Amino acid sequence: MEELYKEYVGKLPGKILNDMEKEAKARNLKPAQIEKVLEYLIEQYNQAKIDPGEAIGIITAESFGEPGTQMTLNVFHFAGVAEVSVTQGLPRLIEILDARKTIKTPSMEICLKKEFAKEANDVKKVAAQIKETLLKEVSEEFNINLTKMQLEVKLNKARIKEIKAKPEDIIENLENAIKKISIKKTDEGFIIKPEESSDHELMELYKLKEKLKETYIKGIKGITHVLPVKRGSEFIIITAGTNLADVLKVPEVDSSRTSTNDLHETAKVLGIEAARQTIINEAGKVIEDQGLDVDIRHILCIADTMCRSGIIKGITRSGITGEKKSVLAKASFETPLPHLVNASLLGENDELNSVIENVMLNQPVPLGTGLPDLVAKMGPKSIKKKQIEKEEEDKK
Amino acid sequence: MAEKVKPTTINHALVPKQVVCDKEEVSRLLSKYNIRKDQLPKVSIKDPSIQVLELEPGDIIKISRSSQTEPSSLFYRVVV
Repeated sequence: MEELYKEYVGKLPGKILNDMEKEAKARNLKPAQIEKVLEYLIEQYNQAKIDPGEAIGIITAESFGEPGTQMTLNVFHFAGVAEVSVTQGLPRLIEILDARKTIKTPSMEICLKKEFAKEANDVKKVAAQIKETLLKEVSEEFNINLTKMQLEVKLNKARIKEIKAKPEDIIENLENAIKKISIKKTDEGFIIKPEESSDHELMELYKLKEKLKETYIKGIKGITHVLPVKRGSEFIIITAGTNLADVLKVPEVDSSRTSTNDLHETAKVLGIEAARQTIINEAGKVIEDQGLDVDIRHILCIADTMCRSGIIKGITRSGITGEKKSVLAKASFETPLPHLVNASLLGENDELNSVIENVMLNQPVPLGTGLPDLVAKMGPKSIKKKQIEKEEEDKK
Repeated sequence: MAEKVKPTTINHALVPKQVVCDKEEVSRLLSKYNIRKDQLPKVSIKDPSIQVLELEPGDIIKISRSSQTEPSSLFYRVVV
């Protein structure tokens, strides 16, 4: 059976071959019948292939543009129960395609190693450790002691235990964040005193109190909310805020499946190929959530184009559209005047090699039947190449 | 204290398998599509996923991806 399919590897995509194998087994087809079907498949596959010179870019653009008109414009939807909101619909799609540096709702999906992902309590413990914790979240009272001119912080012991923070670490973090204070540990919490006294002592003390409340003491910076969610047989943690590099270092986290929806962060931590896959996943998610259907090949086309140059480039005038050689093509996208003025100041040439500038000048565009020239150039270079090819074939 | 950390392979579902092409493979690839090296898609030499390969600019890496349309497809990037 295997031999039969081997012959067709390369002629047909692997997915079709796999599907065919499954179907043939389910229907108990004889080898001769399978061969017949495969021949028919090849014929159909070749017919379905895109013709040379077809403008696939514009087809992709239209395939995204039309469903875009049906998407929700500005609705916030709450994923799960708690307060983790996710940008959806058209705004999110625009974010992805523009490759925005700061996205509206950065979020992570943290998968845990198997031994931690089974029990809800275990997952909650890990989530509490990952979450960025501020001093105000673990303290019960902030008192200003006027007679001694000092701040007295009463800590919530249960919360401290939950996030597994040591008082020494908290003191260190506080001292790093705010200069010129002395911190003393007591049974209840801390006594914090400014080292220098000034004329407006009380006001300074009050300011210090407000500052201390917002000081980071434990967890991973950037993760503002955590939400354990059951998915399938295991628990995962959905977060608001993202910090992929630090989360991957947490020992309980399964570092091979945890992901973020921030394209640039993915590229920085995992590389351009992972960023490309993230574009595909995120764009696919948007379209699927909206109940629309865009062929995966269009998304692949966009993702490949955006990641072509090794860094993520959005479809903006500073991104891939700005990379176009032609001045007229750039000017036709956005901000025509600056482009034209700059080009004339620098004395740029336009070779008129592409589509849009030829449309402007009412000339045939190099697409479809307009792409091939009538006479093929047979320069010395191509003859040489043919010789090399021949030699290689002879070697075989 | 800035000791150089030895790069390790990134084991992540989003990162596909990447290997360096040898010279023969490079010339076969370029002549098959009749292109120059600089016409290939690029990857930065600082890209975290290829640090372990210790590449130089001009090297070509072969990426084995899988997607919904093809269980395994090959893609090439030139290191810049």
